[in-house]
Amino acid sequence: MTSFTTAAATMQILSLAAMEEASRTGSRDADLEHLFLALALSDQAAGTALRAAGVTLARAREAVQAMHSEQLNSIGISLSAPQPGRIVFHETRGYEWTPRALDVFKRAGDQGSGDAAAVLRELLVEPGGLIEDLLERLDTSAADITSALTTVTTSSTVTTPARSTAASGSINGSTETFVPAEVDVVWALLSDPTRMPEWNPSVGSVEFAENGDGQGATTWLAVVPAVHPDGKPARVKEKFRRRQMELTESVPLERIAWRTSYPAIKRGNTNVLAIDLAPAPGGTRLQLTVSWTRRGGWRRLFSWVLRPLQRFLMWLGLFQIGAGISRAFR
Amino acid sequence: MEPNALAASAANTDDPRVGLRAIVSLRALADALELTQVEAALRAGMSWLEIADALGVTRQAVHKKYAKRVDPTIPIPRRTQ
Repeated sequence: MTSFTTAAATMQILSLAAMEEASRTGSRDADLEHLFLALALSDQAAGTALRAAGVTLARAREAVQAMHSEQLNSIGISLSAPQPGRIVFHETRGYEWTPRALDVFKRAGDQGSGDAAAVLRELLVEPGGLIEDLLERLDTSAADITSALTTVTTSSTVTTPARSTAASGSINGSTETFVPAEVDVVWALLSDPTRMPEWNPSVGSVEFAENGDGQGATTWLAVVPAVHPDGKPARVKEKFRRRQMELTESVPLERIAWRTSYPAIKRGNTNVLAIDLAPAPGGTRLQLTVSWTRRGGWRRLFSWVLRPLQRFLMWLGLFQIGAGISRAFR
Repeated sequence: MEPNALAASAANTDDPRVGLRAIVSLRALADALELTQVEAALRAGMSWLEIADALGVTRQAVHKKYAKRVDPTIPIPRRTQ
């Protein structure tokens, strides 16, 4: 993978997480502390190193809040900032990085590989004293994090855009994500089909399929939401709105897989979304894999031409699902 | 805190490094509060011009900063009436 696509994927992942964190305090500017929180959530070496040094999302959030209220106190403002609420990023808009946060990304791209570890290294040497202050509150230091970063096996590379495998008749894509919750809690969310709208952005409502008896049913009917969370109407063709979801695999606490088909389309493609769960320090690591069946004939040649776009869209879909699962626990 | 004590403390310049970083926290708080107030004003039916006058800035300035940031579900008139 080129360093450009690595940097772009890293930027996309960290931007979403950081801006979601900024949205909790009613801010529209993602600054260095939000970048720090996003890195504490990273599924890459940067996040593993931070969590190994004791920097979990919960502790980091506390440190950020304490830092701001103490700073306001230091200039005589005893009014504490409003208590952070839930993430409203997906319901709002107008988010931006602050110039100094963008500089960190730029330096990480210029001097490093542009992955999350490079971003963390640049953030650690941020000259304003903000990160130094936060690390001190978290009983650690830039030196500790740097050494944790070197010890963490750097085998975890960016898993985007999705790799396509050579398996004939299907196209696969996969991505990894970190969720700050224990594996049994994550399983409870993922294994309950009625909770699918909480994490899958393309599912607005779920009901038993007509052939299901409600007891041990494995087939469900999902309907795509008619409006996006920010109030804009969702532009999805009517025949794509109703989806049949069939539970194909369920290994408690380890793996779950759903096959999606489109009952309103005669020769429609189907896809299988598999989610593998594994406990990790400070939370759960998820591997999301999607495989699409492929049609033959002239369309196949056509799809070969569109392959890079398909791969990108596949990665984007998985990224949004992963982000949805993560958001459910923040 | 009494107004005098507040003024004394806010003007405390013993450690400018601490003081400067505190200003960043203060700006972030002010921005968040300003957005909440602008959204409340729009919900109450105030125009961009009325909001700008109350904030003491130009209509263009307030529109540039907040048009994309405010809650997208608030119905906003296209132009000031």
